Parts: sequence; structure tokens; C-alpha cells
Amino acid sequence: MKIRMPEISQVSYIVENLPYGILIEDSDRKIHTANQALIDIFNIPLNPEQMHGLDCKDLAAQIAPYFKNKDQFIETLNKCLISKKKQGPFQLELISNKYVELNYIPYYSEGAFLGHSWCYADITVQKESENKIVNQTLFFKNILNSIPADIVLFSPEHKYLFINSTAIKDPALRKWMIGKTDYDFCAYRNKPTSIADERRQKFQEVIRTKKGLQWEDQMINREGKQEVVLRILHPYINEKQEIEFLVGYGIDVTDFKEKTLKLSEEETKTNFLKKQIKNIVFTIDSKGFFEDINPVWGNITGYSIDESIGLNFLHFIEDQQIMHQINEFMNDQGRNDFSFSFQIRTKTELRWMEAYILKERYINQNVKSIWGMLTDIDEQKKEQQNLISAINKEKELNELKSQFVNMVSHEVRTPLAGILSSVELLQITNQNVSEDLKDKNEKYYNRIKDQILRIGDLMNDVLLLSRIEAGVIEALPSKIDLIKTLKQFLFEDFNINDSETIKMIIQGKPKLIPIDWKLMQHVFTNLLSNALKYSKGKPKPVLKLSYQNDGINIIIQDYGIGIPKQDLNNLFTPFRRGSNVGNISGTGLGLVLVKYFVELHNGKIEVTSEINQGTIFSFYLPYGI
Amino acid sequence: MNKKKIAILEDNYVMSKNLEEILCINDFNVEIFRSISRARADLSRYNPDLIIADLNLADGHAGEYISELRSNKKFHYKPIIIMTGLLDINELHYLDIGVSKIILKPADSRLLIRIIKRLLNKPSIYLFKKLESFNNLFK
Repeated sequence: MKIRMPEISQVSYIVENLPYGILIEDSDRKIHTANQALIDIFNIPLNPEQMHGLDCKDLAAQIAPYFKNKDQFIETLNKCLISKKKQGPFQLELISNKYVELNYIPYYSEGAFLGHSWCYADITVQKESENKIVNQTLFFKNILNSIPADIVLFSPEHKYLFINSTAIKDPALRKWMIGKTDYDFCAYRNKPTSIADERRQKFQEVIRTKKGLQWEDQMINREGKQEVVLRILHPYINEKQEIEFLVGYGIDVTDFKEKTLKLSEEETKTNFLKKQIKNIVFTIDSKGFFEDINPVWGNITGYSIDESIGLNFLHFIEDQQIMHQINEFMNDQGRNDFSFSFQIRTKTELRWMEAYILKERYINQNVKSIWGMLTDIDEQKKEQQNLISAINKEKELNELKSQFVNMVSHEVRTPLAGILSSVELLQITNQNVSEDLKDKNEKYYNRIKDQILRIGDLMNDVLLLSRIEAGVIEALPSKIDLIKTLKQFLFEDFNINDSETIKMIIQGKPKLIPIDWKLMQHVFTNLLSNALKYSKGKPKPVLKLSYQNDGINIIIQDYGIGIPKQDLNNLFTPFRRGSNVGNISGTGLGLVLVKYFVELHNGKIEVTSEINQGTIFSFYLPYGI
Repeated sequence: MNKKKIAILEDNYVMSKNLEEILCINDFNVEIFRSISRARADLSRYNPDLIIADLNLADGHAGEYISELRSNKKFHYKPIIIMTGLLDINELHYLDIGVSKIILKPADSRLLIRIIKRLLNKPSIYLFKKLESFNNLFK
């Protein structure tokens, strides 16, 4: 079947009207047909008819300068001509900023080469939009790269799709990371996989919840500084509600953090100053009118600062005398500062304040203003007053107690004296009783006497102690001859039958000593009667007075039962007695008084003791009190 | 009659009687005055060598009476012993007005006898004391 070819004129029409630039050549490279579109692309100053029969080589040379890359154009042509096979499309850029696409189509008829056609398509619009997309991509890439934050994209499999240059600076490494995971990175950097594990965990949480996650990483940067990085991992969810990719941000928030910290520090400071400063600070002018006051003023007085500024400081003072003193201070050029306590007149009450005011002067010494600080001491003052009244009450009570004890003691002492004298009379009449009864009676009478005297001693001690507690006892020393006083004391006052049995030794040159004998005689009564009491049947106790340069050392030594070591510490505690005293009577108060009275004379008392060897009390009294 | 005479100024019956007995046994002549008014009326007549007085008596305080006695020439040098149950008396004051010795009740009678004998042997002892305390005021 013979194919019916269209008429040549019809083909020409088609070529003429195709939107491509067409150039048909015969095998001798003479132009057979060139359409208007081709002429338009290259701005050839001929019409299609004039083109017919022209040499293609000449045309190629003529249009070559229209290409931005002339050599590329000629090379492409030659490649096609040599191959004589269908080639293309080749994209070429013209100097007119147009883009053309070139297709080369050779014609063969029954194996014989007949010629070829060059087909140029103007793809400028297409190319431009393509370029636009490339540029836009570049633009966004640049933005992402220039953002001072780490930005990465992850595939839902947690592989890196994109990494910006902030995240990884090295472009080779950045490229390498694409398609890799954090585990690959850890392996590459020889780091423990714990970081990768942690990130993977967070990644999976985002995948699971389809919600963004943020956290802060604390790390040490290469300069060794502490860095805080805020990390955000956010999923991009498409219309099908699938996670298409994930965006990870990392923002260095160290500075921000530091600023926040500083800000909160400032806030803390301000709050501290506001809340913790409890003092009123103010300035007044040289006449006493307020210039400036801090807010504490309002809290304490109840008056606002606005209504107080312009008022006189003295207006808030109750006490006329204090006002007078302040006026005096303000007018006295020689004085710089002044401290006083006063009651401030607040809106509701009078409060005790401690004040300190200070003059600020000009160079010419005139007073510029006066600075002041007030401390609220109202509660302290009230507490102090409560304390004083409590102390006074206690003193009164103690005084009452000692009066009571004194009264009772007097009321008891008189009948006791009656009993004692009666027993003494019985002892006298006992002389006439038969021998077998006499000794027994004597023993009992002595016991009664002993007990009566003990009650007397006890009342003595209790009264003294209560007077000490009431604080009414003070030493009124006068210079006395201690040796003479002691001799007389042993003879006249010492309530023991055998007062002669005490051996007195004197060392050094005797001097007059400042002693309140009324008090000191209790010391000697107690120590000497103890020495006798606890050493019955043993060698005589010794009373040694040793006059030294600055004072006298008095030693009372016995050879009696001694004091157990564990009792020595409690010896001067009320109602404590040695654990080995047996049935020897005593009040347990004597040594308390001894210590107190010795100390009242600025003396010091010491005791050493050895069981069944004896006890040594030694005390030192300075000549000058 | 060489016995020394002792006046007891004491309103407590038991005490005064017992004291009288003890002193008599110790060879003293004793007379008891139960009130200050009795003493004012009769002490001069009795003319004791030594006086023992309680401080609190039914009709007054013995302190004033002692001052009174001291201003009387007859009793200028007579030793006076105070026996009291009061603990917080101002000893200096009594020594100043001329009391020779203050004894606290209850006291061993042997001590009392000892003091009495000493005072009777050396009646000027109380003056010593007075001087001593007088001097103390200027130290």
C-alpha cells in the first residue's frame, strides 16, 4: 500500500506554523526550509524565502554569537552532524537571556541520508520558572544555613534529611551525615551511644504522640564554657495525618538563660531590699521637714509618703524633751550625729523607735540635709519591760520568801532554844542518876541536842540561800585582823564542844585583810565543823593561814573519811552530800554558801580529797578587792 | 556573896526559867525581867554585872532600851549579850550601841557560859568591839 504523503505545500504550511524554530537542511547542508519562528529566535534579518538555499555552515557561524556559550553551541552541532543520529534535547542559553532547547533529527530514505532538521524550542518561560524554584530552594537553604540555630530534618526513620551549616560547619561532614543517624555520628566521632539513645527515645516519643517536644541540654562547649541548648523536635504532619518528616531545632539559650537569671537575681535583690529592710530611712532639711522617705515609713506609721513629705519630723514625736534635744542637735554646728530612742506617733499608736540622724554638709559646712534611720524597737522594748517586771516580780517573791523564812525561823528558834536548854538541864540532872542509866541517857540527850542544833543550822542556811537568790546579799568588807578574829570566833561562836581541837598554823607576815566577817564566818563555820564532823577519832584538823604577796591562802585540812571522786563535782550543788556521810548530819547547803561567799570576796575555792585519807579545802582571798 | 549577878531580859517563860537554872548551876545569881517596863523599874535596883537580853519583847524592842542603858552611867561598862532567833539583824548596829555579843538561838549553854565568864573577866571587851566597828566606818 502506497502511503499517501501530504503535498509539499501542506508540509510547508505545518512547518511554517509550528511553535518551534525549524531548520531543514539537505545532505549538502543547504537550507531547505527555515520557518519564521526560527528567524524570530535568532533575530535573523531575512524572511523564510530568502533563507532557502543558504549554506547552513554560514548560518551557524552567523547565529553562534547569540549563544552565551558559543563553543558549547558549535560543539553540540558538530556532535550531532558526526553522529547523524537523533540527538537532544540540548539546553542552550542565549545572550538575550532566552533559553532554547535543540533537537536534532536526521532524515533517511531507504537507508540513504537525505538531510536533517534542527528544531529549536523557546523554553525561556519554563527555564525561568525552574530557575525560580532552584533559587527559591537556595534562598530557603541560605536562610536555614544563616539562622544561628541548629536546624535538621529527620525522616520518620530518624535519618538526617537536611542539616544546616550551624549544626555542622564542616560541609563534607554535613554531606556525609545525610541519610545517617545519630548512632552513625557517635560511631564516627567515637562517642558513647548514650546521647544517641537519649535522642532516639525523644524521637520515638514525638512519633508516638505526633506532638512536638522541647527540652534543654546542658553541655560544655569547646571553649570549656557551660552552654544551655534548647532543643525542639517537631513533626510535620501531612494531610493524611502521617508524619512526613521531623524538624529539629537547637537554639543556644545560654545568654538568654544568663539574662533571665540576672533578671531574677535583680528581682530577688529588689524584693530582698523591699521586704527585708525594716528600717525607715529618710532625709530632712535643716529645719526638720521631710525631703525623702523610704516605703517602710508607710508600713510602720500608717501615713503615706506623699502626705508626710513636707511635714516636719518633729510632728511625729510625742516626747517634748526628745523634740528639744533634736532641736538642740540641729542648731549645734559642732555636732554631726545623734542617737536616741523615742516613741513615734503612728496613725494608731505610739511605737518605740531607735533613731540615728546624721548631718550632710555643704563645703562651707552649712547643713545641706539630715539623714536619718529609724529602727522599730517597740517589740524589743515591750519585751524588755516585760522581762524587767518579771525579774522585779521574782525579786519581790524571793524577798518575800526570805522574809517568810526569817519569820518562821525566828518563831521556831525561840522554842528550839527552850527545848535545848531543857535538854541541857536534863543532862545536868543526869549526873545524879544511877550509873547504868547515866551513859544511856547521856547518849540520847546528845542526840537530841545534835538534832536541835541541826535544825538551827538548816534554817540559817536556807535563809542565807534565799537571801542570795533574792540578790540582797553583798559583801561589805572591812580590814580585819583575821588571826585575832578567828581565835575569838573559835572561842566564842564555834558551837562545838571541842573547838580547841583545831590546830591553827600561820605562815608569812600577817596583814589586815578586807573581809566581810559576817559572811566569812559562815565559810569558817561550815568548813571547820565539816572538818571536825567527818574526822571523829582521827588526828586534829588543821587550819592554815598562809599570808602571801597579793592575798591569803587559807587551807582547812582534815584526816577524815574523805569525799568519793564521783561526788567532788557536785560538792557545791544544793542538797548534794557525799555518798559516804552515813549518819553524820548535815544540810547539804553549807558548801553552796561557802563557795558563794568566797567568790563574793573575789576568792577561789578548791577541794582535793582522798577516801579515808582526808579532805583539803583551800581558798584564796586577795588583799585588794 | 561573891556571886556575879546576871539579869535576864526575856519574855519566854521556858527559856528564861531554863536559862536561870543553868546559870544558877554555874554559880551565878540570876534575876528575870519579863518586860522592858519591868526592867526600867527594877534593873537599877538589882544592879547586875551582866545582862542577857532577847530582842523582841512583849512591850517593845530591846534595842532602844539597850541604848538607854548605855547612856546611864551605872550601866556604862556592863556587858550586854543579845540572844535572838532573828537571823538578819544588823550586827554592826548593835555593836555600835554597845552590845558585847550577839548569840543566835538555839545555842549551846556551855558556849554561853564561856562567853559570860570571859566578858565578866574583861568587861571592856565590848568597848574594843565598839571601837573596831567605829574605826571601820573610816576605812
